[in-house]
Amino acid sequence: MDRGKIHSLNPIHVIGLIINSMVGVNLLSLSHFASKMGYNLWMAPILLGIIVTLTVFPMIALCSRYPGDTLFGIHEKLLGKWLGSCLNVLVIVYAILNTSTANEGYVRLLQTSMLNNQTITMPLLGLTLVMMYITNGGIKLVARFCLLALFFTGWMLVLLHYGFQKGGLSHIFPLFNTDLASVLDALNQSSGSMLGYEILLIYYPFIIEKNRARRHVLIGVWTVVFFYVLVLLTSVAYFSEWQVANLVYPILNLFKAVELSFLERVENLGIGLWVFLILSTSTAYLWMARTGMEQLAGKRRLWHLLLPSAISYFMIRGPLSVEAQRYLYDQLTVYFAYGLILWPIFLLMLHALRRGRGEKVS
Amino acid sequence: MEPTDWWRAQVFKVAQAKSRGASPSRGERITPEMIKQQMHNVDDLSSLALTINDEEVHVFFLDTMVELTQLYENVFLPLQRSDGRNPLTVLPYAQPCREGNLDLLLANLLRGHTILFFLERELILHVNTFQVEHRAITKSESEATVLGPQDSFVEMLEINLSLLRRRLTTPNLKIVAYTIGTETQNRVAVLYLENIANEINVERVKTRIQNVEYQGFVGLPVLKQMLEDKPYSPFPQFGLTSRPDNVAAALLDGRIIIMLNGSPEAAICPASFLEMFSSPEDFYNRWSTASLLRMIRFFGLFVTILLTSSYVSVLTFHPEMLPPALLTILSESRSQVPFPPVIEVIFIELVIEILREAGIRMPTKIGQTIGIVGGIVIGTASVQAGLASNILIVLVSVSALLSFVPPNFLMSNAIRLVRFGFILMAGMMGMYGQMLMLAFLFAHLLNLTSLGTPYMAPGVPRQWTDLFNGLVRAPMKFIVYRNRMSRAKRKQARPVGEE
Repeated sequence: MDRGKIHSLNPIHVIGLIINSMVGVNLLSLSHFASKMGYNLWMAPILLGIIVTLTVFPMIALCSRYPGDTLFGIHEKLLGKWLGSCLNVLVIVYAILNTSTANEGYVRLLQTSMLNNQTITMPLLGLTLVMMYITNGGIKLVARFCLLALFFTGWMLVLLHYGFQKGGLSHIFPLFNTDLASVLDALNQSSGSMLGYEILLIYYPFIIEKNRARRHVLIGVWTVVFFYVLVLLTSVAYFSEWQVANLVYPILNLFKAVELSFLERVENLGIGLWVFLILSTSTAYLWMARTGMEQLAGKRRLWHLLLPSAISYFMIRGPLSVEAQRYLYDQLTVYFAYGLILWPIFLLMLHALRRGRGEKVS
Repeated sequence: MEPTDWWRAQVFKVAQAKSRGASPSRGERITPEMIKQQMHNVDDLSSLALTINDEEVHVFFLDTMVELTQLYENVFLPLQRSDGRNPLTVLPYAQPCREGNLDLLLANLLRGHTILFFLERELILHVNTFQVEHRAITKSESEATVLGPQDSFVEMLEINLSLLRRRLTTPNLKIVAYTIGTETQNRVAVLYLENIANEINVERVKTRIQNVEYQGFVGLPVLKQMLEDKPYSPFPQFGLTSRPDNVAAALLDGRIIIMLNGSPEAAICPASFLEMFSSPEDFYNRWSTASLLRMIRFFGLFVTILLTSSYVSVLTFHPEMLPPALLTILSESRSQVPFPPVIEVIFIELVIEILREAGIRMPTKIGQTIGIVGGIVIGTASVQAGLASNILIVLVSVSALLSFVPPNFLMSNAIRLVRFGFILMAGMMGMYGQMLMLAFLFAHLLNLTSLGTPYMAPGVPRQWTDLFNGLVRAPMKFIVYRNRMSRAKRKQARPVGEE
């Protein structure tokens, strides 16, 4: 559809991509991850939002110097073909890891909550196939799917009022009774939920309004922060501190607060609909991996899509033990992400040294 | 034939560029023997050698396409009274064939023209004497409405075009004709309003039609499938209507219309997914009623694909989701059924599809029997025999009824097909399977284009004002701009601030 057409993402697409590539499986456990901050945990997304905003600036600064290139292209131009390709492989690995993180977390949750009698083979296979179909449509289809996912899942925010009404409003007042170590720990734990905006480094060349891209990205980021704060405020009001620290998927318990006359256990519907959020995250990362493969190979082939998908599938449903996977997804991916988010600063300095400050490379 | 219709037919006088095997080279003199040689074994060819005013005239026409009285009155009688004057002055509608182009002459003969050879004058004339019986203009059966115009297209392109010309009396309405189909030589007309329609889209349609290679088109839906963007998708990407008012409205919105001779339909392109759920009656009703009906149609889509599949997923995987009272009723009604829910649902859904198919094929009188067989024998008896639960019969009936609600027949078929995918996925993976299928379905719809324009417009926003004529039909005051889907040259449909 949009093959060969470079400038294809309008502002709404950019905002949708940012929001939905950030919101994914991590939201399900967000209040658990940030529980070190006690009842102040609802402030964690705001702090994370500030950090994200600060890191968006060097990213946009780097990309605006290379308006026609993805991060993969920038690597090759700035670091040379050989070193650039090596780094590109790392970025591709990062993208595949993130795809697997989203899929694995969701499929495990499915198995524990909805499909107790099944192995994860079929659910994961279905998820992977749909993911590949969407990614094959290009970044514009991914962006459109993100907008659709927002439409299909955004209404669930309305359900929060059940939890909020039943909870204690006095819980949410900011007490600032946490120490710096707990705050840092909570931020580290919950940083996974803010990942996704760094794909911007790859889809920047496809944005139509590049000079206003930063504003659109930040609108997306702070919308996510707003959603997270809403969810966390409700969690704080509804749960006790012990519950927040010990419930692995607090969102599912929040769903339990919902009372409808015709339907019980609404969390089943919620988990089902969550597949839209998972797909919008994993397709964006898979597209990132595919773009990297294309850059490495210098041409466009279907196996550039098939290979990362297969790797992602077999990482989850393969020989790796669950412990090894947990290390990969919870530790390695996050530290990898820290590196990638700070990487543009280094590249900018390198750019300033090699080409002069503010020089544009077409 | 009325003179006006005759002129209308002249619009389609298309040159036959493709040469045939035994035809003489251009410029060579054509003789009556050549016609006979080319048309051997064509037994409806009438070949007459007459002497009119002491001049030998060879006449060829197809007696299946020409009415003899009319031929006599309009051709032979004036010639007999001509007293040797030039036939061209006597027959004002006749056209000379001077170039010796046999292919063109044969094509005209096959189209119902009469060929006259004046051997002494070395003059060949062809006169349009085409006259054939056609169906009267009737009400549309597939797109019936209570209000508004009731006429619908017939199988004659000329009549269909006259229906449209009566509605759009403007020289901006352009009708470009093509001949396609190597054997059938169908006439295709591309219609658009030159001052409104997008030029790139018009060119795109023309190019696609010119590049179609097929032996013949017996109906517009066949041609439509070859022109659409994604031929493998179950969803129709061009609108299809048999109502002239629908076509006129589409033209005014900047769309392009494709019509085929011999097909009582018109294809509208580009068309969006949401438009498949709107009927011309939406504009004849008050806006509030129209909006309600539109929403019912659209949510009917979700109910159709999700209702019976939810029955499967809830009973197979998540019985805890039902309130206790409902669960009790369901388990009681299912207590006799020996199959898993997915088999039960597929069985009953297939029965409904079979009933529907049989109902279409049966003559009307036997059709009532089918209703009784379907309603009483299969419905009641299958429940009593314990093959299906009575709640399922209710759900399947509701979902079957809703699947017929979309005014577009092809869309309604596509939805019914997709429903089976949902049931199977629900049987395999419960509610997750349903949602995964929903994600796949919508990703597919988002991926579709109609003439290069996103199919999901205005859901994929192209212009916010489109929402006034989307899921709801806002009061006419709000509908100021043309739908962005058509990328019209002039965006405003009427001046702002009129009231």
